Amino acid sequence: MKVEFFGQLAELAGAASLDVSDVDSVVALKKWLGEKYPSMSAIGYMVAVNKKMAEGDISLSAEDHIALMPPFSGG
Amino acid sequence: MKQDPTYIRYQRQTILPGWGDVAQHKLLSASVLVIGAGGLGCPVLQYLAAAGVGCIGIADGDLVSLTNLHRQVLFGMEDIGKPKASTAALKLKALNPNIGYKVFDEDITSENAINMMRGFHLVVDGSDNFATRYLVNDACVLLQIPLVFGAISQFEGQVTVFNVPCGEEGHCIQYRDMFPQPPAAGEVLNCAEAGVIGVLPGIIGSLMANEAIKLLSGVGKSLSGSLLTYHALTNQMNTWQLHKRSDSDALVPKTVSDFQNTNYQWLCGIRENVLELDKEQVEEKINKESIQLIDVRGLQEYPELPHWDHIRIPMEDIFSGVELPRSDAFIFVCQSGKRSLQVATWYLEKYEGPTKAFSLKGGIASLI
Repeated sequence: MKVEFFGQLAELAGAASLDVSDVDSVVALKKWLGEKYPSMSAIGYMVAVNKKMAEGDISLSAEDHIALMPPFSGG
Repeated sequence: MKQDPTYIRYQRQTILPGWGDVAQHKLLSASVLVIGAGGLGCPVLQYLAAAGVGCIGIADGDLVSLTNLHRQVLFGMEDIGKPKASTAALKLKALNPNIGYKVFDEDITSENAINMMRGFHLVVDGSDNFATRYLVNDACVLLQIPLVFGAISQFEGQVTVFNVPCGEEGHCIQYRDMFPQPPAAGEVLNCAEAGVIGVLPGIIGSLMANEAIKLLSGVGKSLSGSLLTYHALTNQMNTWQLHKRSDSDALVPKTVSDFQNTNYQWLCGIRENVLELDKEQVEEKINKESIQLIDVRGLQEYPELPHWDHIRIPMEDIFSGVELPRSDAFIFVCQSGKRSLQVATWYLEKYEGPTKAFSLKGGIASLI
């Protein structure tokens, strides 16, 4: 599945998006990202699945498009 | 009638299909409070004043600096060192003297927010830190005031509208539906730390002004229920459907008094900056608030703390769990300010609650 990163998350991932396999839920994806990029876990980002914000654990399939959005504070 | 200067001023938008005198009249009868007259606040203020919003409130406790000018386009060289809110109001009066302005040359805090916001139909948040963003969100939820939200980071921006019923179920989305709790201090950088391209707040601020004008005039469809994101380097613009979380409303203080007792700086992990007070700040706090001063030195240490009423509880006793008297806030003092800072930091880490803790900077040595 395609995972797109916004803001600081793209910097931490070193890419605007990644192809991720072997995860089947939002919780598993967050865990996988937290292990690969430990500093990501400290940022409470929002997860969108197919352009809809997701709450809690949602199962994911290979066709899903995931976007991860951190909060911005600047003004 | 058609030669009326008011009519002429707004003529180009009044003739728009679906606008007319009705929408213009709604704008002229509306009031908006803009939090922050910075990168986002400047374009928001300019377009709202130009469009004829009847009363515009401007809240900002900051002064104009040279590093602001690449993006805060209301200001010029002659404004450096001047208060942003009243300077912005002067510029806006030159643009449109026929509307009202309410100037707050002070930062919004949990103490002044409710009074500041009351009476405004809409709030626009163009602030630059999480403590203010959560504070403004919570106040707007409590007072049920629609909130136009915009925020930026480096090359990217976010815009949405909160507290306006959306979707089939008519839920009101708020900031805590997106991000229930503030991030840890330092995890997400602000403009001063991470940088920002000057034109970005111009774009995001204009989108915010557009949302405000749609909400107030009743024309068009607002972003309520959707988050719009924009990337300046790729021109990628997306909208994301937001979702009402089951736990978000419970995170907002229940009453005005709970809200006023919430330390948003603390919630956002800001410790060092607010923790240390100098002599004048201590004096000011003692006069305004119910505060307990505690000398944390050993009981044999002298000289006695001069001027202020206080009690003595040695640091070791506090650390071993001696009960402190009830108070809205503590100011800890010691000889040099080091031990008292340690105690204040420890206190805040240990006791999660509304009680604030401060330390006298430089200690008793600074008073003598």
